[in-house]
Amino acid sequence: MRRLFSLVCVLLAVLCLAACSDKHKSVPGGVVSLSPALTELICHLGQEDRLVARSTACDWPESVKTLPTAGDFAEPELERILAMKPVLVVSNEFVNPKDADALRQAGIKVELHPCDGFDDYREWVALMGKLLDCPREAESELKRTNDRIAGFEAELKSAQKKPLRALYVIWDSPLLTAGADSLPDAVGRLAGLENIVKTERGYPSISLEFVLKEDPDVIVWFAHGKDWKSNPSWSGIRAIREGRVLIPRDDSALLRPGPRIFDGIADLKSDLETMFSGKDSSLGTQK
Amino acid sequence: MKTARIILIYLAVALAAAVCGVLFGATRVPLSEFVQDGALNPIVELRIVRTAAAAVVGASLAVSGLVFQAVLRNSLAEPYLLGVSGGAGLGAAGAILLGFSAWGFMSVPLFALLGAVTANLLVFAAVRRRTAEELLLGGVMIGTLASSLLMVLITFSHSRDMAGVVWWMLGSVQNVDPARQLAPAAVLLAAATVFLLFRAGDVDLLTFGPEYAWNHGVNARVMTVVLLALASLLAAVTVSMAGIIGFCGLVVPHIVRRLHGGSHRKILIPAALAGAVFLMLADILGRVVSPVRELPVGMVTAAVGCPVFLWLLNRSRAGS
Repeated sequence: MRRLFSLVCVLLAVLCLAACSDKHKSVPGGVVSLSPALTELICHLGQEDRLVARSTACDWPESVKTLPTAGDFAEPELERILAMKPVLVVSNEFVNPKDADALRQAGIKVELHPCDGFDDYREWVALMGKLLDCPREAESELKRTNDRIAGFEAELKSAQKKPLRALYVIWDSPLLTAGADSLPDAVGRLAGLENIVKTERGYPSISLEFVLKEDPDVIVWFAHGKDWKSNPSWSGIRAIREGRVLIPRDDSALLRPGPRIFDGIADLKSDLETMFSGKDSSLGTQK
Repeated sequence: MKTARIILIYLAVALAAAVCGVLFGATRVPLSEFVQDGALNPIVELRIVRTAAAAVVGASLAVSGLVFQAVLRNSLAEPYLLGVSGGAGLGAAGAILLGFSAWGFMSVPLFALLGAVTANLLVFAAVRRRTAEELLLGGVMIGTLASSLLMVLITFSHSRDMAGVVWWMLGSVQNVDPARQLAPAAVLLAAATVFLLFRAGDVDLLTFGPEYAWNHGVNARVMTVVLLALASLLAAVTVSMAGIIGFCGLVVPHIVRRLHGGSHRKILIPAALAGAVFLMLADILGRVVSPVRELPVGMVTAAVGCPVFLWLLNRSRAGS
């Protein structure tokens, strides 16, 4: 009887050890990220092991897809998160602000800050360095960020070209675009573009008549999966008629204020150069 | 005043509104730039299409509302009563949120039309006796069910998709395809107007109740179903084209009826033209007030229609 009891105890101990060795297991010190950009940043800082859950929108790097989900982007599933017992939940915002209070009442630290531009990104990097106890990695990422931005600015200065006037299409019907101070606006500026929407902030829905009047040189098409050719109202826009529509190679790299953003800008810049030097006539056509 | 003179006045106002619709907008286009290099300026072309769309949508909603109010003998009746808005909303949201909008520009309008017609057919199928009152109640039930399902879809949607659904529900005449949407809607409106002019006497009799109409030789039940189906079809087509635009179908028939009496032969065309004018002016206002962002026309019709209607209501009461 005593032997059997000892055997059961050993088996239970082995099972516990096996469960604990799973890196995605909810462990004290675990982090839940409900923002794709922050998930990318955490992984980039070498802290992927601390992630215990992600949002359904978090899909990069590929390895995070094996993590359990804890809600949609900015929409936490409270019960699931509470069951995971993380110490930290990070997101850019919550659709329902009361969710943050509920998590805080359960003793979970909640960090909610917007990330709409490079300054916000720098703040997040510094904060993550402190929260995840990886100051050296955070410092290195801050330096890389500053160097890349300075590099793009220097290239623009040396090229001495007039910026191309661009319309960023986030959605086609209604025409949702990126306004002044938005992330695509900041990204485009480093790639040599000038946003035609200057008076409106955020992501406004704008009129076609305004676009026709502004007559952009290029349209950067973020409306993934939407066909810009099938809408007859668009045919009056010269950039559409002349095929100057650029579909970013990976729009998630450009629309997420994360560590991949600088590679996205470099790709956008290179595609713009190809389009306007006429080297590749296939650019500007629907993929 | 004679009917012909009333129609002529309304026609002149409608033409003036149409000219304003082409002249004014988010940007200033001098008359000298209306034609550039032998072709029409794209901005002017865009204004012509949207002004024509506003006219057809406004007229259709007014005619539809006029029929609903007459047949149901209810001053609160409006074109979306028989589940049209809920069904169309569900169809459009389904197309946007389930990814069918990637099939092409016409997918959302077609799904909206399908939703509206399906909701309508469900009302007619579910209500056994098909009297005006029962159809009205059936419409409210099916509309509520469709709206609830729409809310479920919105709950599971992403923010970008939701913006599309919300904008569509507020109504806009900016993105109307002249060949595939506007032309068929104009033909339907013309056909419905001709039919209603011929049966205007029956509509007048139905306003006194089905028994009264029956006693005067009208098959009240059949005529009620035909008229409500026609009015719902008009509303369904406009909804698929421009989203849900409120107030036009409710307010315009009221105003025209108050001004010119209850004979439908006399007020049908004025109501259609008044609806066209109302929506053309609302569209111009939406473009001019906020040039870059542009106000959705449904928002303007509600903001303008509500106080105008209340003012008219109080004025006529004070007069009486």
